[in-house]
Amino acid sequence: MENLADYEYATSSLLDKTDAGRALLLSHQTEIEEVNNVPCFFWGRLREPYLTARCLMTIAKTVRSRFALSMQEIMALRDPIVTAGAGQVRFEGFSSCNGVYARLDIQPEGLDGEFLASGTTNVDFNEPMINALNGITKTENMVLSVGQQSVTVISEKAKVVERKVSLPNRWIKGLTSVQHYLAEMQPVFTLTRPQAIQLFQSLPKGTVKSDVFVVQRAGKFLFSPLRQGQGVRVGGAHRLRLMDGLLPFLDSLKIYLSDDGQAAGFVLMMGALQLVFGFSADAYRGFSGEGKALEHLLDDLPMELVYGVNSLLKANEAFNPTLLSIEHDIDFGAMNTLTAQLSSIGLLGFDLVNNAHFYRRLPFKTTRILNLNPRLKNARKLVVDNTIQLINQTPDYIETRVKGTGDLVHTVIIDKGQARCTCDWFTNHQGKRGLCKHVLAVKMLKEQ
Amino acid sequence: MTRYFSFTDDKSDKFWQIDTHDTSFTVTFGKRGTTGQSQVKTFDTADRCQREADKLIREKTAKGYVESGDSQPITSQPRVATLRPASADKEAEIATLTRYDELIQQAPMAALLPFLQRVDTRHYEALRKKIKEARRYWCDYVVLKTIPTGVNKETVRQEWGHRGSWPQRIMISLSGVALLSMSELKPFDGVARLLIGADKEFRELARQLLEWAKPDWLGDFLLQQAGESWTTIGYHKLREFEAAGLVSYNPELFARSATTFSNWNSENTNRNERTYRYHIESLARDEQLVTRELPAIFDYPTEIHTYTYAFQGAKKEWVYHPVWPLVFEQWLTEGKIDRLWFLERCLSVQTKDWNINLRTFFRKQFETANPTTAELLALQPALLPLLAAQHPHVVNWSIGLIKTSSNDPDFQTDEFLEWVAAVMMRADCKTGLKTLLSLLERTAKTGPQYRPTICIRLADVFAVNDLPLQTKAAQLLTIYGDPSDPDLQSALQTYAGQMLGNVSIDLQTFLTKTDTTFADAADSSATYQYVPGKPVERLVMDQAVTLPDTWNDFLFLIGQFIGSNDPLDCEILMNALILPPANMPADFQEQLKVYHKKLTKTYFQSQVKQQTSMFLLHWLHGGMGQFTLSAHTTVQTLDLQFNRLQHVRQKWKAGSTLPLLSFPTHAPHWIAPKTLVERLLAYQQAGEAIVPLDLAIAIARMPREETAEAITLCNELTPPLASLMRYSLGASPERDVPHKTALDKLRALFQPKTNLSDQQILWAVAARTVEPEAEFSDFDQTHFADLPNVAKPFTQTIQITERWHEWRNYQTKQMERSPSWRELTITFPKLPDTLRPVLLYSNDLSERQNSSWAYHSLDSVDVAYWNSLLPQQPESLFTVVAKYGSLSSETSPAVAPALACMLQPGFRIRTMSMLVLATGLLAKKRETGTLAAEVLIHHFGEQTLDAVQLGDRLGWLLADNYAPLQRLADALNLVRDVSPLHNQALLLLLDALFARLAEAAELPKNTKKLLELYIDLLVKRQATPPAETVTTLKMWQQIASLKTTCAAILQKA
Repeated sequence: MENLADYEYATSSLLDKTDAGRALLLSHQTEIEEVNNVPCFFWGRLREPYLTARCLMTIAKTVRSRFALSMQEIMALRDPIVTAGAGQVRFEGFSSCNGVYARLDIQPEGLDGEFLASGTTNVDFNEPMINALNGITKTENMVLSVGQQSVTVISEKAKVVERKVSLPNRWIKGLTSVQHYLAEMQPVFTLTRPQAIQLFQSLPKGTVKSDVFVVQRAGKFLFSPLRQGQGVRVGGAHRLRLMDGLLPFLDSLKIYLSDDGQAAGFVLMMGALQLVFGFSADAYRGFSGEGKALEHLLDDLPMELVYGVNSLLKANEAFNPTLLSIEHDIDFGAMNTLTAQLSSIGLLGFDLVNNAHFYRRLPFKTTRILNLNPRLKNARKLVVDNTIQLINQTPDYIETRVKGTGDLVHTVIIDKGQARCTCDWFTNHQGKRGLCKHVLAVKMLKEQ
Repeated sequence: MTRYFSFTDDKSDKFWQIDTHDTSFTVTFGKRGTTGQSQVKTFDTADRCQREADKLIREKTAKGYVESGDSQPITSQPRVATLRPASADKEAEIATLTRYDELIQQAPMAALLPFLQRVDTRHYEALRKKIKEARRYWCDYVVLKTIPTGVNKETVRQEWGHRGSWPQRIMISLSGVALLSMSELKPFDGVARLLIGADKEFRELARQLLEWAKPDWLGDFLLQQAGESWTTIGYHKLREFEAAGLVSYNPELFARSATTFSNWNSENTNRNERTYRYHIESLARDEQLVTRELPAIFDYPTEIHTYTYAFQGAKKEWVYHPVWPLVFEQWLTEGKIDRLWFLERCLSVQTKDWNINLRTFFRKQFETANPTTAELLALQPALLPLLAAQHPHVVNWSIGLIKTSSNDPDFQTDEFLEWVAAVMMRADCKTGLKTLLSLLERTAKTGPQYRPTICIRLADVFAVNDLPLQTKAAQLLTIYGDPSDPDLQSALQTYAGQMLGNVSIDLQTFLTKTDTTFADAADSSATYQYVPGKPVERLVMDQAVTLPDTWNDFLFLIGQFIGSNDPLDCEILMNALILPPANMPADFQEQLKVYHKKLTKTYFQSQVKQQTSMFLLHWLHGGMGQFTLSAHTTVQTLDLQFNRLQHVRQKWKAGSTLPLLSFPTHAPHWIAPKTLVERLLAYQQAGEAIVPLDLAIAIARMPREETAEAITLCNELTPPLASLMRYSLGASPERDVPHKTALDKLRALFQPKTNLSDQQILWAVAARTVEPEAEFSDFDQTHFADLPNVAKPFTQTIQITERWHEWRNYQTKQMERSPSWRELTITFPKLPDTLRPVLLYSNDLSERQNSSWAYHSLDSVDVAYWNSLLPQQPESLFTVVAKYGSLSSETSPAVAPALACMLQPGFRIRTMSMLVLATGLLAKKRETGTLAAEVLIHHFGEQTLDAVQLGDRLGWLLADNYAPLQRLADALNLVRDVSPLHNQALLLLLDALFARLAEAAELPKNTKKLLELYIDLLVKRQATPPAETVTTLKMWQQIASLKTTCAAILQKA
């Protein structure tokens, strides 16, 4: 398996000054040929140029940041991906440590233009362009162009610089697995702007090593070292500083927490713009390493079902599993699995505010994405190699021994859905980071 | 022309063919034996087409494709026909590899390139493998003993080293450069230095090799190396590479290279004033530098601020001279760069998240250029966005610049008022805000049309928790604001809860609704009433502790113990080892092997966990031999765990089926009285000896709750035990301490530890548990009467002393001193260093110089464990934490876990825990301070903290400069406004604190902060300051910095 995907932009994105105002012309590129051939997805005016520019700068800052030390810094992708369609434009990006996910959703009210095509692609975010975004004011006209209508016109003005981008696989994997976290997050708090500012004033300075919790006390919200009431846990809270610059412009701030209390979601509501942040359990834990989705991927769905959905939906369209299952006569259980699988192969994103999945096809080859779950692959191998010995099985209890490295044997017990294993992974994380390969293998076997 | 390449390995067998024809090429590829698919690409020029084609070919060969000697049009002929006779080919390949080995052995540098040039491309794959092998053999750093001597003369007589000599290793690296990909080159030595030509002797060779191999990754590689100055390619070299077509232009790489001066030969004696001038001159004359590189320097982070030129001064000392500022100056005066453009770029850099010194460098260039007012006005579109910049120093700086031009009629006030919105609520830009407020005041005065906007902006200042700023904003609002403006009303209303001191009263006309912060608090005039020892239920039903029932639960309990930070898991595990589940399988050791392995390779930071882990391993080995530890912890209390583990071992050896007496029945560490008496009865019936330590811990863990049944059961115990338990349960106040007869005393001379002394010690523990503050005369006759916490509660002298480091300067021969700091010193008595395990409350309370390190670095699990051994009276733990952990407010590692103990329900704060709490509030580490604030919030809410005592303690610490006062102000701000009760408690605390400070010779810096908090609390409580505080404030009014705040408070009196 190759670790990197390489691609090159033909031209650079730029912020161009024209007589009618400024135009943000984004250059795009993907691995998928048919998407690559689309010259332009959206062309139109931004209704809130200042805020949009600030949000795009925040996304740029996110994808350029790195909170956990990693030797792979140079491999970091520095560009977000963009999805245009169904009246909306979304920019998605990941910090290079894979721990912070940021997505800007520009709702139809924020745009005044034409969707020439729908789809998802990578866009070039270069330094000069981000510099230029800095001076955008509230009052000026600004045009956004996702993809460029006439490449030649633009390339005359900008020096054509071919920029090669290396895309680490973990980035793609993080992008897919974060959707599972978002999908099961529950809203906990909604803060007004003054409350949000007060909250951030209580954020400890510098790198925050221990966990902090967002707690509510007599109408004000604070970061506290203790969980109280329905406090939202945030690990590596210094990462929240990414939002700093946008706080003065908030309408409200919504805070979400995942079911297992590990990941936190922050949504900045700013009129027609929504900026979604997903924070992994800790600064050193990337979303790419979390095994959240693995459980849903145990049984393979027929590929034609997956492709079927692909042909049914357009980019950014809401994906409603209930409706789809009624219309196409698919049972609900299969639909849940389908939803999870589609997320895992990068076909669905999750919209926290509307609590719904939306369709978008990640601009990477599906084969690449399918290769991304080594734990699942290892589990399949355990099943195939016939290393599982069944000790005891009743309808809601199963006890097995699974062969480990060397002469070690792991005990795996699934009791009323509660799985336990004696391996290092389970011992160290006590089930907080997804199932280990042994439990996955036993579950697979059980399904068969 | 047509070129044909093929690739064969165990998985695939494919071909790739390229047909170049004028300005286009056709690529055909697929499985060998098929016709494959084709793609055509067309280019503007034939030259470009050829370059693209060459690039693709390089990529393919890099991936391992091998070119067939002659072009091979695609046919469907069988595969065999496309291959040459295999054996001849193999022979040639072997010959090539052998020749390579010889080359490396003999290391004739000059022969490398001719050799590589002669190698048939079909043998590249094999040679690549060979090169990697050679690198592993010759270049790895290994133990040299095992290899034949004489191979590498450089490393004779060294134990570790490389097998290859330096030239050999260079040759291998160079062959890697020629044939390998960038990622494959990673483990190779010195590639970066070779490529940038850092070593003179190999420079020419490396250059020739590059020109021949033309690696397509060169640009990427150089950029990757450009992060460090010593591996950044020199600018001249880079331009040579560019001219030779080795790298193509990349703005980031060229900008970095141009701004990095090779530091590795910076202190060169040939340099002087003249060469320095020449250097600047040569940079300033470089057209490419100014036209192409300069714009990119503003786009990418560089090292330009560290670029200096060093030469020796008059006294032979090295002086580092600036270079780029002079080059900029020259360009500007010669008109080579546009002033406005340059200034605008310097500003745009300020929004970047770059190195702070780099941003400062460009600010300095901006200031040096000394822009005129006209220029500043022209720069407004770039200057105003800086108000929304991320870094506070940038915002403050830009406000200063804006101020200088804001008087001009061309100043864009509308734009300015738009951008200013981003600063108004930033607590980190207070300096700038102050300037900004005066700027807004001037604007409002002269331009009535701006007043509504200005007032809306001013409302945001109330988000900043700073009384002077808020007061100023409120003052401006009352002058220029329109109380009937609904926008302004609603803007102010949102901040009503955050207004400090008198501000909300001053703005009353604007605020329509009253503050609703405490709408749900039933009685906002509730008074704070400290209740010492408020009863709290400890034996909570759903906190009951159970042992694993089944083998599987037992199995996973071990996993849980490894992963958890709760000392309770240690307790459960110890008892589970005594009472293993009934269905232990025969192959249990086999099943536990995983944990065995895990425990063997894990070292726990916590001493208690580490001891328990060792014990578990001992048990896994059969547990038959003696259990010993290679190293005991030097903390006495923690070493009790070793005694307890020995006890567990004795029990399983004796086949006991009873749990430890000290096994908690309820989380986190409590034992129900009834269960304890039942356990004692069971021991009695089974004839099992009671281990004093076990019983002592059990008594310390037993709260006086649900005692009725237990007291009745006591009747069945043997008399001495019954009276001890009755006393512990509160059924009888009589202490029945057995005393020595004359004969006992004689016996004690030979045998100091008798059953009698054990009983006496148990009584001492029980007495201290039940009556923590009392003095007892019962133990006067015992040999341990003088130990801390036996007859009398342990009291110590606490002092704050000034400390500093001192050393002799070897040049001036003078003594020098470091800045001083304050230390909290607590004196312990000097006692013989013997552990008396059962005397729980006395251990560790003696001066133990040699083991102080162990106390300084107490682990959080160990602190929790310590607390769990004496949960009703943990003052000795807090005494130790105060002595070692609170020594200095700068580093206080053990304070945070100790504070966590104070949050347990029913925790009673006494003298030493109060001291730890006070030092926690003053700790430098913010997380500790916040945790201490949480303790305050919790205990204020329960009314279980003596606010006056705490205030007094804090006043004492601050008066002696233990820590900066600002830290306390930050912590108390977190407690403010939690409830009216909390606010009142804070007032009590501050009154006591002020009383203490009034006695100080000099007030600590920032005392004003506390006064500001005080006035805010007074307003919220609608209270008046007590007489004593009024007197103090009248005295402080004489101090200039406190004058206004004191006056404001005294108005309330």
